[in-house]
Amino acid sequence: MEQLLRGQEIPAVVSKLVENCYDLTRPILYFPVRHHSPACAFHLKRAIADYEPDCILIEGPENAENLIPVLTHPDTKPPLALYYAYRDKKGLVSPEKEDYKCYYPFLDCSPELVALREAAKRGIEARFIDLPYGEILIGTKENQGIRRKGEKQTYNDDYLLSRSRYLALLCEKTGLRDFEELWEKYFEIQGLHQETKVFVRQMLTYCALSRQNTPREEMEEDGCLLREQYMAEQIAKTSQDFRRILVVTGGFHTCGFGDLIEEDFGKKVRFQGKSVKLHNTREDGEEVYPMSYSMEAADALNGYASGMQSPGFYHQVWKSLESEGSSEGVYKDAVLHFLAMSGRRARRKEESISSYDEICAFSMAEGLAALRGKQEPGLYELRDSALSCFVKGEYSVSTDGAMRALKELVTGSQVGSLCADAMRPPMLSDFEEQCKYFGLKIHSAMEQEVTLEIFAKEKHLKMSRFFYQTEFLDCGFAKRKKGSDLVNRRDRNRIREIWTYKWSSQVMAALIDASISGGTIAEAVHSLLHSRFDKSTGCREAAELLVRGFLMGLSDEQEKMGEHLSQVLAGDGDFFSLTQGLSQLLTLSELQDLYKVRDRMDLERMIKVCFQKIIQLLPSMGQIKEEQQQECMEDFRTLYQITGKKAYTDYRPVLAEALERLLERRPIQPAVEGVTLGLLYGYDSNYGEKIAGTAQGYVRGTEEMLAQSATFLRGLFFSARDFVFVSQNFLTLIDELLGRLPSEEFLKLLPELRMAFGYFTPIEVDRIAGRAAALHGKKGKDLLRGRMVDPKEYAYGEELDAYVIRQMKGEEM
Amino acid sequence: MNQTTTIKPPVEVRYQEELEALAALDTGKRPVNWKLSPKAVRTFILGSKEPLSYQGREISIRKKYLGNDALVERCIITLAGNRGLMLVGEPGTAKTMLSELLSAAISGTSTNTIQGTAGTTEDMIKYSWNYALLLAKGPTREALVPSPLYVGMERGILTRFEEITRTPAEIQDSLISVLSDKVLNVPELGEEGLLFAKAGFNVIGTANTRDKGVNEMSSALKRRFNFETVMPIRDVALEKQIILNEVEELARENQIDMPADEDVAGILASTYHELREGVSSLGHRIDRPSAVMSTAEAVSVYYQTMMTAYYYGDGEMDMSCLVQNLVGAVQKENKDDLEKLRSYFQTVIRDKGGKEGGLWSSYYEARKYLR
Repeated sequence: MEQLLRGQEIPAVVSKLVENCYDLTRPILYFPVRHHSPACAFHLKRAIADYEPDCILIEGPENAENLIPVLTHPDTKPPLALYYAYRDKKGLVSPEKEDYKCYYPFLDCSPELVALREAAKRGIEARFIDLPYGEILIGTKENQGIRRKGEKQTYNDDYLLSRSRYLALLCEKTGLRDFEELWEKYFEIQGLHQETKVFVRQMLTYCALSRQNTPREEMEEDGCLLREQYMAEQIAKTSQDFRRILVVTGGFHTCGFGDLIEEDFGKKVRFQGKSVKLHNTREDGEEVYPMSYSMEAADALNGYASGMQSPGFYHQVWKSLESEGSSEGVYKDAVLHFLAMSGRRARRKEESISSYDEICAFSMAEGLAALRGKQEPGLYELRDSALSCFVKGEYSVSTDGAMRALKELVTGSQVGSLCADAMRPPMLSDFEEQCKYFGLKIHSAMEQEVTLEIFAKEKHLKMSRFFYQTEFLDCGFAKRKKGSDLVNRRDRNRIREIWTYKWSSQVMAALIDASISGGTIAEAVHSLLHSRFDKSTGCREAAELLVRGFLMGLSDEQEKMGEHLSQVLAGDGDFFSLTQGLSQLLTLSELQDLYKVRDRMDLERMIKVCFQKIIQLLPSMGQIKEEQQQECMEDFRTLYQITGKKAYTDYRPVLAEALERLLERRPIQPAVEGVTLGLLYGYDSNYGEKIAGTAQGYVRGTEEMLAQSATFLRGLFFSARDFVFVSQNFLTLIDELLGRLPSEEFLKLLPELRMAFGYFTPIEVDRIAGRAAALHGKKGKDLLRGRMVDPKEYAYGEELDAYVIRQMKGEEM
Repeated sequence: MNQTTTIKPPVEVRYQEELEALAALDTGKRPVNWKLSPKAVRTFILGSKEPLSYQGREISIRKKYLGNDALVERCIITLAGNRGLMLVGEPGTAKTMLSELLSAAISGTSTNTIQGTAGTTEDMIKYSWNYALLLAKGPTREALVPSPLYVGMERGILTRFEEITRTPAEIQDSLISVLSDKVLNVPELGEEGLLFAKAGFNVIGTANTRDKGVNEMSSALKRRFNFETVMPIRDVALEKQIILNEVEELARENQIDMPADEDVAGILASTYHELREGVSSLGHRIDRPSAVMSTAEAVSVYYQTMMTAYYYGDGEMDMSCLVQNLVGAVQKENKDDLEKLRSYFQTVIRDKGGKEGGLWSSYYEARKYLR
């Protein structure tokens, strides 16, 4: 490796740094690390034992310093993360005043955590020395570094090590696939067999060359240089109080300290950079909490550009290193472990992997390691050998079962837990307690499914409410897969609900964010519901929130909400909003008994008020715009259906009267006229004559009216399609309409006509067709027989079709 | 073998010098009966950055298989082990070439091959008899006609089995006992009829995924192989490089004194790549033809055009000739494919011609030959 690295010219400052590195006699010992690297953690542990520092400084936002005892507590189990949130109230980061958040994950093999734990064990001081999170954000340009959009933000990002031009050349030269393979070969595997001093020197050389090939502007823009200045300043300050300081930072930054700190041998340490001025972000809504994290979230392969990939694999390596105290054969053992485990898991899923396959795979992994000049097989050999020996046939979704099992295993499924006295929002404890009460599995990152019989079991109803609450908080925990959807008024006949839920660090983060609104889930939901309800302006929105509150079991709140709803009702003049709101209110009223909720807001009164308002507005609905036509038709039908229910039959004559008034007003939209007449026909069959008369009017009317006849029919069939079968003459009338139309006009009407006849069932269509055929002295079957098409004409049609498709595709592109 | 009269000399002849130099300078550990160590085999196939000094000459080892280096490494290690190697993939993804390179480097010969067809019988795989000798001398080793598999076992070298899935499943299964027990029984020879495979013997099979379902391999046989799926090249620049390399090689072998045109190779690589992937570099969505759009096909289209230019033209690659050859390559199974190619020209090539001009424009103008 050294030879490889020597191909580049190393600047003087760096060579001095490399030269002086790992000098145990100095007052400051710099230890470069890569996050989650077992080799770094292994050597760091040795370095602490050799150097015996009296203080350890660690790269990490300093505002989390009070959380160090939580991180090192014996009951705290990684993976865990520090969750930083910053609300840019003053617009210090950007004028948009956005909210920011990021994670700082720790695994058992994270060198930073190893350093913290060692410090705690030795009873020495440990501190974070980086800028507070808010300050880092302020010092970073938009869309750079920690402010890069579209990625999950992690504080400890290794992109500076893995993205340089120098690296690409290095990979090409060594014939390795990417940075990760290079890193594993030279640092993780080979590094374990090196002396600590040699390892540190190699790390520093690599990092220095990466740095040399990273443009200074880039480092400036992503806040890297600013952070280094601040860290260097903190190191210099700390050196006044301690004799032996161990500084653990990302290797890229270690190389930056050379210019900033002057250290006369055996004398004072001086900070040579410019002091960083802080903006006092702590008072501006900067928060930091410890939280449990998952291996899945820590996997760099899951699209999060941070740390090492496949943390489950390296965790296994670290476990062997810790338990055996020696680095001999740990990678080989890990590869064997994962081959056997993935074989077993694949067998459980009925993949045909035999023990012999595992033997062949292990021997292949060793062979590949030898061929690639690696001391031991690593993650890449593990994957390659499984690919060769476990996949039977062409590699595809049907044959990659074993590879998927392997991927799950090397990612790991552990979820961390925090010690009991960890300072964290009470909402998280509430969430966990509730999950425990309901027996929900939140210590696994796998998706779970649960079926709830909400009307049969009290506990299931409670669980459903809990799920609805988490859904309302938008934390991405639970999702209803099946069951009645009261908000959208669908599938209301279902008696079971099927929910899927999945614990993830994002759920935790969202709950922490929501904890501003309350100490428990229920409190947060209450206050959020209220604030959204108070802001609601229309009946539809307010009633929908009521339904959601109802589903969440917040019926106690209805009394207060009832008052507001009355006000909203009084102020709402939108027919559509009122009708849909009415429908929601009716849902509530009907389901109260079923859901065991008591009516506390006098729903009946509300429904009455709402209905009266609708009746007032209804007669003016004849002049709606064309795009509202469908919604209007649906709402009219809803109203008619509502008044058909036993409890509301008194409203039916009132509705009929309002509909009649609507018909009297001119002009009137043909679809509305059609639907109204259809509904009135349902109320009183004497309207049949009126329908026939109106339809005749359209059909025999002027050209423009003739053109609207199809729209009229659409409205009519939407509400009373049976009229076609009841009225003897109606089909003759339609037949006349079609007969009168010139073919050009007919083509224009065709889409609307299709929509109109689309409301009929296939059997009905067949009956209509039979009758229509009879009008022309034929039978229904005759219609199915088309006239013979001239082959030339057909060929031309096909050509035309193909041409149009081509042209359309051309346009689409 | 006289190179000047052979259409396609085998790999070991073509790269004789490289193989000799590698063998002479090879210091790595060799599996028994291997001509080269696994590392040297890797170098032979994937090339070496520095030339080798051998007998006072500098011999550079060119990269012969472009694409997935890790796959090549896995193949080498598989062959050193107990299981056969099965290369599967779309037609034209250089499976055969890879198997030839591996055989030449490991066993020194790439011609010990069984060609699988629908008419392949068990005696073609195991052994058959010289009937004149059989009648004269009875069943003796002398009268036995060994198959490539028999030869491989007897000499401890690799046997290649091409297009294994073209062979009926029951015939394929005759490999099972050979691969698991490494022994072939010739009952006619009595006690001497047991042929134990020598170290170094193994089988490289190739199978075409387009033949999937024609003769599905039994799971018993599948278990005796490690499978490697060879994917089509995903990188246009690499595909262009392959076209250039192959064409230059063909031209040299056939004494066509004409340099390959990089721009034309680029156009062809991008055409094949886009038609295969279904999306152009400018973002157009493209109907994919059902014909195989492999790099090997692209090479042959280029080479045909090159020959036309060399023998009938002025030595310049002619775009209209290229398009005509392209038609021949695309229109094979389905007549809709030509339509797809035509609409590809009318959208993608039209836009590229407008944008890039030059050769792309003349490529677009040659669309009239898409008939």
